[in-house]
This record gives sequence, C-alpha cells and structure tokens, in this order.
Amino acid sequence: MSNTAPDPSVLQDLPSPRHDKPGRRPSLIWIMPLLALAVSAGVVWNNYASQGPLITVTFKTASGIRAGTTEVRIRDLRVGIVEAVGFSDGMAAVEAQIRIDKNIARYVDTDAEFWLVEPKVTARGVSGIGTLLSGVYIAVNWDGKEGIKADRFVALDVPPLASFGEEGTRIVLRARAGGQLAAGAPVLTSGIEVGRIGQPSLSVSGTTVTMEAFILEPYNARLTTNARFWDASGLSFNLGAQGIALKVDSLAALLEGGVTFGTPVTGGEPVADGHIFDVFPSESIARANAFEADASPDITASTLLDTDVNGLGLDTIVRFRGVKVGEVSDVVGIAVEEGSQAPVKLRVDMRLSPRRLGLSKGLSDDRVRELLDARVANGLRARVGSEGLFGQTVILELVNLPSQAKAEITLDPDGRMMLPTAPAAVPDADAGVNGLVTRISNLPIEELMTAATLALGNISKLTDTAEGVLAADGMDRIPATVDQTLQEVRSLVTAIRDGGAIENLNATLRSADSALKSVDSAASTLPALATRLNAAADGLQAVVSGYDSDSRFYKDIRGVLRDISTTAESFRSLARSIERNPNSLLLGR
Amino acid sequence: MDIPGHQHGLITARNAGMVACTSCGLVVPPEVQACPRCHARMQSRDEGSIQRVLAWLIAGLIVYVPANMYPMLRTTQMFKSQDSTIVGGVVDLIHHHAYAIAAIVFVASVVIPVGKFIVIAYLAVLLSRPHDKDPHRLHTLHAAVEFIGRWSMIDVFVVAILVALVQFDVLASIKPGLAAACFALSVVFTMLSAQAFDPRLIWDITDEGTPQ
Repeated sequence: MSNTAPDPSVLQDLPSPRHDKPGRRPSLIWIMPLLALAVSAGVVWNNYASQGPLITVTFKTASGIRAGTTEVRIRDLRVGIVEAVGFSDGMAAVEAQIRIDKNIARYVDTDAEFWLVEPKVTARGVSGIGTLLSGVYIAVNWDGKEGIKADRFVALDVPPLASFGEEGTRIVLRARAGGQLAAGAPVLTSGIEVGRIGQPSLSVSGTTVTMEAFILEPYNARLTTNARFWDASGLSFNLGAQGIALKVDSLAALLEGGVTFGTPVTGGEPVADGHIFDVFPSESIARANAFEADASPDITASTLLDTDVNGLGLDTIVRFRGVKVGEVSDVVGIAVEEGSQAPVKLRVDMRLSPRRLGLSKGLSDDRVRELLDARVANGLRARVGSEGLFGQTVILELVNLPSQAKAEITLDPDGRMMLPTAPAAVPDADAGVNGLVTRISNLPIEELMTAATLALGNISKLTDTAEGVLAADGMDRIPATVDQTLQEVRSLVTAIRDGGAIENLNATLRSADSALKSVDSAASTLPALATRLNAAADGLQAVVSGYDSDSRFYKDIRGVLRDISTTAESFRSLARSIERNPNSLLLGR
Repeated sequence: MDIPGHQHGLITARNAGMVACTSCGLVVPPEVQACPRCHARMQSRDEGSIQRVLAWLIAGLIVYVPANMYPMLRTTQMFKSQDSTIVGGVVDLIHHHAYAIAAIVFVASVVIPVGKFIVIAYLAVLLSRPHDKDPHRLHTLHAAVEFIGRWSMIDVFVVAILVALVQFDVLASIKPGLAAACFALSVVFTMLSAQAFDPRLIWDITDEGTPQ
C-alpha cells in the first residue's frame, strides 16, 4: 500500500467531512458504573454489617491458637473465629481477637467463660481427639440470657465444671493436703459418676486442699448436710485390729483419684451452692464422722484418775461399749485433800454425746445427771483402756462393771459431774505380748495373700493394657515380700515366746528372787528383737521405695512400716524401762 | 513510503469525506446508512465511544476494589480453612518459593488489569481533546490492550477449575470467594471498555497544530 500524499485538488473536490461535536448528552451506559458501584457498596456493606463484634480474650499461652483458623465453638458449633493473635501489654499474656457471629453476639456478656480445648488423654478416656487434626479450638460457655455487654475476657485455665444448661449443685470440697485428687476426677455415689471435681487449690496454710465440685441433677438431691465425702482413690490397704483389708477400686479411680459421697445418716437439710464438705480419708472414717456429728457433744463430765497415763490427752477417744461417745477435752492435775495427804490426781474432762449414750437431746443437766447416776449405780465406771493391734492407743472407756463397789456421781466445787473410776484396763506386758501373739497368729495371712495376689494379678492385667502406666514387675514383687515380712513378724513373735521373754516375765512375776536375773536376760533380748523388727521394716521399705511414691498403696505400706517401727520402738522403750526400773514389771507400771 | 508516525501522507476515510465500515473495512460515501457489503450500521465516528469507554472503565475499576479486598479462594484442608485474596495468594506463593507461578498470577491479576485501566484511561482522555501524539503508537497501545485484556481471565479460570476439581469433602475442598466474581466482572467490564473504543478516533488528527 502506498501512502503517497493525495493530490490537493482531489481533496478539494471531496465532500467536506461531518465534524460531529463530541457527545455532551450523557449516555445510558453510565448506568453500568452506577450499578457496579451500587453492587460493590452493597457487597461491602453486607459483609460489614453481617460481622459480629470483635472481642479480646486473654490466654496465658497461645498454644495452637492461629489467626484465621482457630474457631470459637459452643457445643461444638462454630460461633466465631480468631482474627488476630498478639501479645498483651508487657508481653505478659497472649490476646486473641475473636470475631463473634452476629446472631449470637447479644449473649456475649460478662458471664461468658472461654477456655482452650486441646486433645487430652486421661485415665477415663480421650477427649478432644478431633482437635488432633483440626487444631485447638476455643470453647465458650455462657448463659442464654443477655447481660452486661463486655468485650474483654480472660480465658480459664481449665474447663469450667458445669457447662451452660447443666443443672446441679456446686459445692466446695475440703481435703487434707497430699491427697490424690485431680481436676476432672469423678464424684461417685453408689459407684455411679454423678459429678466432677474442679481444680484443687492449696489453702494458704498449706494444710488443706479445697476444690469446687459439681453434682449433677438429679443426684444433687442426695446432697444433704448429712452427706459425707471420702477419698475413693483406688487401692486401700488397711492393717488394723480387725486384720488387713485390701480394697481395689476402678483403674480410673486408682490413677486419677475421686471422691465418693454417701449419706450414712438420713435426714439433714438440703444444701445450697457453695456448701463446704470435708473429704475424709476413707469410708469408715467418713461414716464414723457422720454418726458423731449427728450426736452433738453437749454433756460435759469429768473423772479423777489416781495415776498418770502416758498418751492420755486432748482428743483422746471416749468409748462406751466400743462406740465412740465423745472425746477428752482437758486433762489437768489437781491436788485432792485426803486426810493429811494431798496426792496429785488427774482430772480428765470429756465431752460426751447424749445421743450416743442413749439419752435424748435437750435434757436438762439435772435430768442427765439423774439418768447417769442410775447407770453408775448399775456399775458404770470410767477407766483407762487401750486399743489398736498392739494395744498402743490409750482411750478412756465407760464400762459397766456391776461387781464394783457402790459409787455415785459427785459434783466438784465447780459443778462438774465426776464419774467414779475403775482400775485401768491397760493390759500388762504378759497379756499384751500374749495378745499380740494371738492376734498375729489369727491374722488370715494365707487367705489375705491369696486375695492380694489375685487382686494384684488383676491389676497387672489392667496395667498390661494401660502399658507403662504402672510398673508391673514392681507390683509382682510386693505380695511375696509382704508375705515374707509377715512371716518375719510371725517368727519374731514366736521368738519372743520361745526366746524366754514370757517365761522370764512369768518367772519374774512368780519369783521376786530370780527377778533381776531373768529381767536382765529379757532386757538384753528385747533390743535384739527391736533390731529384728526394724530389719523387717527396712526390708519392706526397700521394696516399697521402688514403687511410685505418690501411690496410695505406697502410702498404706508406709503406714504399716510406721506401725512396725512404732512396735519396735515400744519394745526398745520397754527394754529401757525394765533396765531402769525392774520393779515396773511387778507393779505393772 | 512514509515513516510510520509521520502525519504527512495519512488520509483517513473521514478526511476523504467517506465512511469506512468497521466490520468489513468497505469505504462508502457518508450518506450510506448501512454497509452494502456486510449490512453493518455505518457511522463515520462513534460519538458515544469515549463516554462508553469511560463508563465501562469506571465500572471495572469499582468492582476491582472488592476483588482485591475479599478472598478469592477459600481452601479447606482437614478442618482448616484458609481465605486467600489475590495479593495474599501471591505472597503465599512467594513464601512457598513458587516464584514462577507467583509471577504469572501477579501479572495476570494485578499488572494486566491495572495496566489496562491506565492505558484505556490514557487513550480516552487523550483522544477526547486535541493532541499531538503519534497515532501509530496509540494504535499499537490500543491493539495491545484489546489483545491482552482477555488473559486476565486466567485467574478466574483457575478458580473455576480448582473449585470444580478439588472437592474431597473433609480432606480438601476449595470454594470461590466473593472476589472471584468481582474480578471476573472487572475483567469483563474492562474488555467491554476496550471494545467500546472506536479505534478510528486515533487517526483523527485534529486540525489545530497538525499540518494537513
């Protein structure tokens, strides 16, 4: 194609072009940008308006919280998302900015509780397993009522006890420090899980642990002021006057602890939220407490003891026909005028529960005295007694001894009721040692060991499945060693009998002449016996020390060891007192 | 032959008092209303052209804003979902060292549309008043814009294909975001804008300051 310039003459002949003015008239096409603007603005507005409020939740750590990913859920339904994660002022905590869905935004009030849900493996199962894949999420708990609006929250460290909608009673449990209760542990009654325990916290003094517990409906109806809680942590091993009791609860309770409650005594007022219950170490103690608390100790009585008794002091138990009826409230030495002499006697004050004594409540002092006087006339006496496997615990007994000389209740100058006394029933060394021998011989050791082996075999089976939770080989060794130790104790007791101690003591009692010589040899045997007892204790301890120091089994065994040590110590002190004062064998003091 | 860009020797149908058909290129006298060859409507110059160009351009610009603000894709992988905007996606790709793909996405979704806005606006503003620019260059510019504009649709196609293909329920799924629709609209609007342009305007050298 050629672009040669056209001849100007040709151009002149051509019709002149039409020069259209640029259109000033607005075209209909301008609707398009307006439409686009309207649509865009609508989209933006819609998006903005559908956004809920932005709230800030403070966490200790950001473990797994990610902006744009971590969701906020109520009952596993997404209600919001974390938009940003950052530090709070001073980097002391982590703050998550959370966009809450608009439709539930009105419920975000001061009652809302936030916490992080992470996968958790506990003895009772695995929870939050979905979060292994999806990452953590933030759970919210709030009531369905609109309250005071808030936009700053502090997340809880642990999930709250009860989620919104769960009905029940919140109570406070108070236990001795050193228990095994963990947050989330079950509250049981009659073997049914009826509630949960919250995070335990140590009291300021460090002696007790308090924790919240939530009892679900309808079981909270069983919670009355007469309800008693006790520690239901798995394995209990009890060596007492009745023999040895080994009790194994569920594996979960064994590992995680738990409390059981029961109402040993009927009646009682329903409790409101925040009622404080004590957690007793065992069911028997809890039940005993329930009976005792039921019987309010409101009778005060006193008795005069001629002799001083080691171990008698404040809180010494007062028993009537073997039932605890009260405790010693004070022990004072007073001088009693008896002719020219003024020997010092012990006045023991006690608080007695009228109900336990078979008296109805609210009787006047005179009436009580009248009724007690009638019993005294029938032979009711106070005396010092002892109890326990080795007779080591001193108690005050109220006993019926009709053969006693007539006596009556007297009033001292301060108006105290003075109960007449009977001679102390502390068994002498002969009876004591013989009793010990009999008691130990009567222990159903073979049966017990079979049961224990069976129980422990079951535990081993359980532990095999929960591999690595418990050291199974350690458990295996225990029955054998316990058996061995008990054999040791038995042979020891036999040694006491065969070794001439009893003969010597009897001989001492029979013949004052040969007393010193026999006592010498007895005294020289006793320290050896004590040493052997200690060796036995050491042997058991060596086994036990291999076992997890937090377990209940360990603690119970430690208790047995302490008892054995105490016994050894008693032998040693017996030996010492014989050395110092051989007469004591004759006089029983 | 004249050097391209040199005004001397250029004669348009309009200069010659004729009308060229935009469809088949037939040059006819100005009185003819319809092309005798292809029956297209004959018009010496489309007076509403610049207006339409600007209108579509502005519409395209408006929807380009939400296209960049809102997520283009919502990727759900094993319970985790992630929203990505256009620029956010480019940044992600760079973090994953996929520089080539990042460059493609960036060029297709950012450089081309923005370049198009600028070029079309430049042409529209320039041609609505007298100017002394080389019409050959302007023509090249217009041709380039018309040609390249459609490639912006790459992004939209990628989204459409991904959404159709990646649907594995829990494992992974991709959903289009609001931005995808906005971006597609933006591309369509700018293409319409470029198309609304009457390229014959480029050659109308107004008399003032230009030698005839």
